[in-house]
Amino acid sequence: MAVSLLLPAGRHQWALSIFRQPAHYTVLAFKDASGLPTTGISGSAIPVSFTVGNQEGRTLTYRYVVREADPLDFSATMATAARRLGPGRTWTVSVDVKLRCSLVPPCRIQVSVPGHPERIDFLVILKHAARKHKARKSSRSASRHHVRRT
Amino acid sequence: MYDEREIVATDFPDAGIDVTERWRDVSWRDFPRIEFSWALAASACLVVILNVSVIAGLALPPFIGPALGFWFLVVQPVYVLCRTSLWGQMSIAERVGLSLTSVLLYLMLAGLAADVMLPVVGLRRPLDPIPVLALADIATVGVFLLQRRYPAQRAASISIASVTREETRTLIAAAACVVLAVLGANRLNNGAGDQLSLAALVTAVLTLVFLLIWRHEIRETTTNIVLYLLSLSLLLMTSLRGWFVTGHDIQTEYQVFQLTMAHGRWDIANFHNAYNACLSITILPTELARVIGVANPYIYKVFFQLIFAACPVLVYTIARRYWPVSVAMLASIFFISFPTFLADMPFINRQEIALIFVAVAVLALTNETWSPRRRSITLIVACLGVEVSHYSSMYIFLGTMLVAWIMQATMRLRHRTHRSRAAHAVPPPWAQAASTIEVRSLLAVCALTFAWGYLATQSAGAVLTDAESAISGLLGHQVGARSNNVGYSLLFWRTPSNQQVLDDYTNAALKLRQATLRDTTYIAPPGVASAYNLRAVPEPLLPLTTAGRLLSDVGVPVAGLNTVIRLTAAQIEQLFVGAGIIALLLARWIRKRVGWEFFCIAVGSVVVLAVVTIVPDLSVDYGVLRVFQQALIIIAPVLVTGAIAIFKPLGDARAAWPAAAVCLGIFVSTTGLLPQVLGGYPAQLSLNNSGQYYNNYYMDSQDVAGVAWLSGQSGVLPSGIQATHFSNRFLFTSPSAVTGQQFIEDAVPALLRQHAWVILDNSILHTGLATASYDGDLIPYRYPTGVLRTNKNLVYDNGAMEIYR
Repeated sequence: MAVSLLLPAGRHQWALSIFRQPAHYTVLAFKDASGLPTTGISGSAIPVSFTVGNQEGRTLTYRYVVREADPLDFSATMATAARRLGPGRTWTVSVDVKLRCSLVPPCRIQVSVPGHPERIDFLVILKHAARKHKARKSSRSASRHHVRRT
Repeated sequence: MYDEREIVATDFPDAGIDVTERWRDVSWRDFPRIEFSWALAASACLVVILNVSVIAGLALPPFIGPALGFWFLVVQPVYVLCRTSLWGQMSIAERVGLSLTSVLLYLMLAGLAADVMLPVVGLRRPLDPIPVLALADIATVGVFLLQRRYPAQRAASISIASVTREETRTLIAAAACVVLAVLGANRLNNGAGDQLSLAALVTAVLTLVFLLIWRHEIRETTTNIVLYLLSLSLLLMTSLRGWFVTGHDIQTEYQVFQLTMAHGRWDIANFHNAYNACLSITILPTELARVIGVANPYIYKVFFQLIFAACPVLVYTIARRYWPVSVAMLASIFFISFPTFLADMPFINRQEIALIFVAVAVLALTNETWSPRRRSITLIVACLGVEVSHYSSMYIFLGTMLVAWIMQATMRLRHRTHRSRAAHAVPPPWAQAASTIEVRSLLAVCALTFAWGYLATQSAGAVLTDAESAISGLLGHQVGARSNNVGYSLLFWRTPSNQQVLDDYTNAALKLRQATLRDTTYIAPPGVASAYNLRAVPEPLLPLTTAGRLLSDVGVPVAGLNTVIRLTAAQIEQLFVGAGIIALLLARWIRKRVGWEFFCIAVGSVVVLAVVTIVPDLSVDYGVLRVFQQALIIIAPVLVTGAIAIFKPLGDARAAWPAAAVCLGIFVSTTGLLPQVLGGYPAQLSLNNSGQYYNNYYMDSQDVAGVAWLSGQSGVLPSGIQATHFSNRFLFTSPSAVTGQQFIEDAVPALLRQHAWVILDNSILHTGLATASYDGDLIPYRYPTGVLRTNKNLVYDNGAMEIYR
């Protein structure tokens, strides 16, 4: 028993048996998940806000990528940036992204962190720019409805 | 081996007094002067330290603080009560059982009284630390005064010098089991292997073997301690899995516990649910948590297990009433070998407490040194403990007592008729014995059950519904359901296949969808939903180990072998019980030894078990395995008697050895040791980071982080949460978020709602399998995750949990 304490591998085994070992993972989440836009105007910008959490137990450089994709195999990067995050720290990102998907629904806006399997996304139904006024009106109405509900 | 060992002097520390007779003339002169002793001074100091720390909110050192809190609230009062002459002449284990249940009942009822009365005088949070501390102080002073008033004539103590070599070895081995079980669970929780848990099981088997071999050299008290430690190690192996609350019923038990903690009081109106009606998982854990000061999940994970580990010792003590040491030991081993004990009891904390009261009730009604009146009163008080701890256990025990009473009444009537015909006929001793279960005590127990279940908590509605549907199913008016667990019964040969159960589950979901379509927006039209033909998949098996492969190479079908052993073990136990009952009826020498009342409640237990198995719906609602576990408190020695009777042709002296071999064989199989060594069997949670229980009930850091994130989102409660079975582990239980209004719906594909938050857990993400819980069965099926990915937003991902909206 005493010998095992002298060896690093032995100490590790003791630690596994006695102490709780931290779990290492990365968290990706939308900031206001219930308020994500459901519709958008083609060519216009929509706000996207999300957080990246570092629970990996060490400082890491995270680079997020916001992409859009539609059923017609259109795919494009909308925004990207990088930052070093200490263990246990979170990075809140708020960006406006311009939608360029086709009008074939749905347009999927995906946030990922290359090097990590986590990703989040939301679906937007795009409307033609000519219907911009009407769409904005319905969006505002939905927003008001949401506020009342919560 | 089947022999009688003399009971040692320390087993009966003193002659008792009848409290009911001497209680009336108490005066201060009856209390002897307090003599100074270092133990008393140390106890007083520790009590003061604990009081100061709780009042000032000071955290005591880890491990020492919780140990001190548990000692103050439970261990010390039990110890002092044991040292009174209140219990009369009985073994130490019986005294501990009675004292322990007295303390538990006091904590629950005093907590309830405080809960009802203190708000009237303006104290709105009667279960906050200071009122709870006051209750504990009252208990401490109360038991101390009782001990001064009714001191035991001779202190029951064990001299260390008198401990034999055999006793030392078994005690050390049993203690090592506990240490290995704890370290083994920690290793598994940290993602390491099963080596220490397996070592714990091997040590447990060896300890049991030597306990049986050295039964002549080991005293009763040592046997009790060894059985306690072995039981504790088995319980901790399961209860300590996961750093958070892990298990099935325990999730809702934890929710009602946290609800009581958050409100600082218990109120059935906070959450009108049968779980919330159990004081054993509301008031009791709250009181423990206030004083012990440990992370709340560990109240259940450790301290409830410390209490429940006494139950197998009480089973041993019950068996010792009428049987020799060897039979009592085997009875106790059968009790802890039953799969429910290891795999489920640590997750059913309310039943753990209730079973201790059941055991004490059986001890009370079989205690022939007490007067019938005292037995009846103790029985009724113990039944009160069962009722407030766990309603279902009370119904089962009430059914058992009812059958026992009918048997006794029938027998008396028969002999009365017989005697009137033959005036000089002498009734047999069985018919002459004064019974404890008589009309008055039964009525009193019924009244208690009605008062608590119906009047006080209104939680008895479920039993009436169950009774109605059971009778309806029995009469053939409706199709009743039966759990697949009845397939282990000798009474049933066929149960529906997993696919049939899953089809029923899907059909029920589609019917519900159709019925609620007007008010609810589901994510796919009904036509698409009907296309969700869920396919049941076989439960994954552990890969064959080297030993398993060796056996397989010589033609032994290992997977089949494990399954056959389990099935045979279940059926052998039933066969033994049947043989035991017949042996009691036919063998005069056994009948002379066993009390008539005990025989009646043993038959009552078997009848209730048969009823739960046969009558539709009951096996689903109450769980046939749980009922068997409860019945084993009474019938375990009958089971051993049956085993010995079956092996009797081998000779009187040798019959017990094969019975012991079968008992230990069952222990090796059901604890998971054999399947783990060979492979080819579904993984058990206590030994693996895989398997059905792990996938369904295990909570890891990412799960907890996901739930914490979800509880911080707006619009979660109105929109609702859906998750595949077992969804209650995702309930919000933090003090700021816990509520009795929350419920989590099943995320079966046909019922996925457009605006609900849907949780996909680690199991689905990494194996693709979800589990349907239907009619008491758990059926794994492949979950169509594409439905969610196509229709909903993936709003949260931490690698082990995805949340969709």
